[in-house]
Amino acid sequence: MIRVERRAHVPMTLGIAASIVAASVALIVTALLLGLAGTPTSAIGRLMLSAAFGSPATIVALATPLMLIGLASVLTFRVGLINLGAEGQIVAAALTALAVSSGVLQVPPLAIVPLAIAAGAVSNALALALIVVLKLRLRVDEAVVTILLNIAMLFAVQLLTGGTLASLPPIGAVQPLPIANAADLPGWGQDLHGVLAPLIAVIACLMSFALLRFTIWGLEIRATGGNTVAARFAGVRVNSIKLKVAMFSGLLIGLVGAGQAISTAGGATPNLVLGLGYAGIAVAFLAARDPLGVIPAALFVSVLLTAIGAANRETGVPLALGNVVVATLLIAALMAHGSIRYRLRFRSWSEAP
Amino acid sequence: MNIQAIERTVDFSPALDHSAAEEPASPSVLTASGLTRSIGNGYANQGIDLEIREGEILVLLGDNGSGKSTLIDSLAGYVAPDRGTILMSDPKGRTPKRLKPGSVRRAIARGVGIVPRDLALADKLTGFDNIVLGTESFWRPARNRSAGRKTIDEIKDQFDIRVDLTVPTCRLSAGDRFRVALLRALYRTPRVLLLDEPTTILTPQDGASLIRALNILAETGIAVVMATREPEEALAVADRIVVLRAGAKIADVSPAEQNHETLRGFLTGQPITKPTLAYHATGETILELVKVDVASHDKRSCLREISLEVRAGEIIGIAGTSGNGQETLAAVISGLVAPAGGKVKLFGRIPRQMTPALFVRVGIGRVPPDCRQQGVVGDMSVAENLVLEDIRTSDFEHNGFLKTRAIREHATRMLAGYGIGAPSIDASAAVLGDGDIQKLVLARVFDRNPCFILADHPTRGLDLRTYGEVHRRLATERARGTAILLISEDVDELLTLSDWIGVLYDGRLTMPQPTRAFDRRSLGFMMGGHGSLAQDWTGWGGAE
Repeated sequence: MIRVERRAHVPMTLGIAASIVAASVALIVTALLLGLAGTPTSAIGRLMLSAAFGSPATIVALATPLMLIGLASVLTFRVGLINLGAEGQIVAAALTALAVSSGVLQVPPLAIVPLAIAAGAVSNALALALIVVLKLRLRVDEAVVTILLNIAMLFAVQLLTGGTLASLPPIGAVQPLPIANAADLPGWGQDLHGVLAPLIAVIACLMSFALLRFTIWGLEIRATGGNTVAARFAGVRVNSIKLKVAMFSGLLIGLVGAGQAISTAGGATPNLVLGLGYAGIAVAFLAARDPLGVIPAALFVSVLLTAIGAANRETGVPLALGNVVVATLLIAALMAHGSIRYRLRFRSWSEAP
Repeated sequence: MNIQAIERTVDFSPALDHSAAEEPASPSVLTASGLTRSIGNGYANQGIDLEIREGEILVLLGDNGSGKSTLIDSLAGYVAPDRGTILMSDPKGRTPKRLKPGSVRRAIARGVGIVPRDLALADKLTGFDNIVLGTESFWRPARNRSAGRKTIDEIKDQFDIRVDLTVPTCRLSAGDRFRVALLRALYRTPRVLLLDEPTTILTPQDGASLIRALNILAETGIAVVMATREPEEALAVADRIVVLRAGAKIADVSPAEQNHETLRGFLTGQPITKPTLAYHATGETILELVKVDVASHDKRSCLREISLEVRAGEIIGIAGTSGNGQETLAAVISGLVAPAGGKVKLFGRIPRQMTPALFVRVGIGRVPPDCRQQGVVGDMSVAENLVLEDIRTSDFEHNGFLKTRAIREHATRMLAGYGIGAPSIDASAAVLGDGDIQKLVLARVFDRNPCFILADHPTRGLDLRTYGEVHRRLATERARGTAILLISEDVDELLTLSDWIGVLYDGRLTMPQPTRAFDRRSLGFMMGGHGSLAQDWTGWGGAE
């Protein structure tokens, strides 16, 4: 006799185990796909290992935007909003930041970099505020709006750079940006960015975790996301909470876009790594919508994407494998975390209730 | 509780089984044996044997959680019992056939009809479409409406069921919606008709007309199985009463040898005492509504010129069946809906902005009508749900941080004090049963020592013992000087608890009258939209 029952309480260890299972599935799928795409079997293991342990700096550099986007997605999900538009928002924030830093402002060079990054982040926070207000006032579906704006932004940036949209670029493709960066970041600035950005991402994750766990705001955020009707009934100002959380997550996403655009090495054309907005959603679900889980999840996805990138350079496998892997990871994480809410009960008839 | 324990607590003498002794038994149409279904660590149904005969009305009498619904759902194929068999006799006299467990289609094909508790109607379809839904072949290019209509008209005439089938069922009253669901069951020519607590959603008058219809049904040879919690109702309808308690069948009796006292004894093992409301002077006006209007595109959620005053130390009952504006009235008094016209005064003043937060802050306790949907956050723990309204008080907050230990201690105390059946204080609220969620929300309300309580269907889904307990607590709150607005469909509850009763029908509220001006019958009549109290009641009674 087997029966499926809902668990009264899902222990944290089980949640971690589910994430590990989902990650393993993604890892196996990545290896299989690399093999199918023509990578020699012997090279697959080496590529994976060197991606994971070869260059910590590369992993962290890729994991940082994933962490920030993952955290932003986690927070919006936790408050009951769905922002699937991190990809387009990154592009928008990058363009805004570059516009500020392109030399139109007469400010000292040292001030222009923080100013540009702030402009990208704040503009994106305001954009998300607008989307949430549209949802709350006019019931415009925020998931549809944000996901469609991804394509719109991609079109816009490709038109501005004089290209045409032949096909959707895969995760990891590099998109040059149309505005030259006048705020030439010196070498020490590059180094500072390399340290500061991951630090900010990790601190944001830790603080968000503490916020959700230990504070009244956190309780109200969880209540709002868990059951908006009941939260409002209990006196929680749900609209204000949704707006604030959406703006904060917009700020995080804006930081990613602006940071990437501004931190381009001096003289080179500013560019963006595409697809991180989508990968960030997979990070959020692999992290089981927990801010603390975002850190390892982002590192893991970074390793996978680095391995695929390396294989692409070495053996010419398509970068689009990354899309498949991210999608697999998303589905595996959703299934794993969905299924641990339930338990199987085995009971023989001789047992008394 | 295991079966031995039940036998010890209830005088379970074999002499109780009189059912077959008196008249020659008609052939049985459905025979269930050993039906068992486990739930959690206990049993919803435990080894239940049941024989249902042609043309009899069998009442399943049991308290909430006694296993009535599970038994009915098993018979209808909604759930598959873990063990046990259900045999349906063959109309042509061949050997009885076993019903496939958990198959609604097979059950319907063999002649099992059901009117589920929630009626399960498609709200936006007309009554006619609801009735024929599922009986037409997917592959037929055109619908043959006239044949269906003819059959339905015949059924309506035969059983004297009157209802408009051309409008979407969401626009019908509760009684008419029930009639549609009943017609849907009869349209499939059942030999056994299962009704799960039909009278809980009906006014007493609709209930009476249902009982007339059931008697006609039984005369035509259809076996009727009706679940109820009310011993009085069982005595009024039944040819045979089967009493369920804690998932087990504890008696199979004839109504002729029982009265409601003995039946109540079966149900609870102890008599239920009703609280008495002692007279005392009422205090200042806590809440006042002056000609409150709420407009809505849905007729069922409009309010028209509602005037109402609730003073400290009195219980005002608002009677009415759902869909007459109760939800909106409760929403206005919760701060969820702003009235389009009129005034809402709290403590004699008109608040600048009506929000739920304001109502929480000034010490008003509110029991939402649907506690699972509106009262708790399913994904949060029981402990967190218990403090949801009081989270900004210094008891549970310090500089914006939660006092986790205080919250947990509070939860432990509440679980014990209010008998909330949760696995632990860390369990997510979603896994609780409806009754326990109701208790959780009630505990949250009572524990705040509110000056005003909005009790919207406060006893919905509770077992008899807790039902009595909630009534006792509300009476205690009244004695303490709390103003209480009781919105309910339960006539007994209204008559037991209220000082004054107003009837809400079609968005209008009658002037509240002292409770002694009502009895079950007159109150039910007004809830059905008939007349006002100003008229002479005897005339109405004669007209029926």
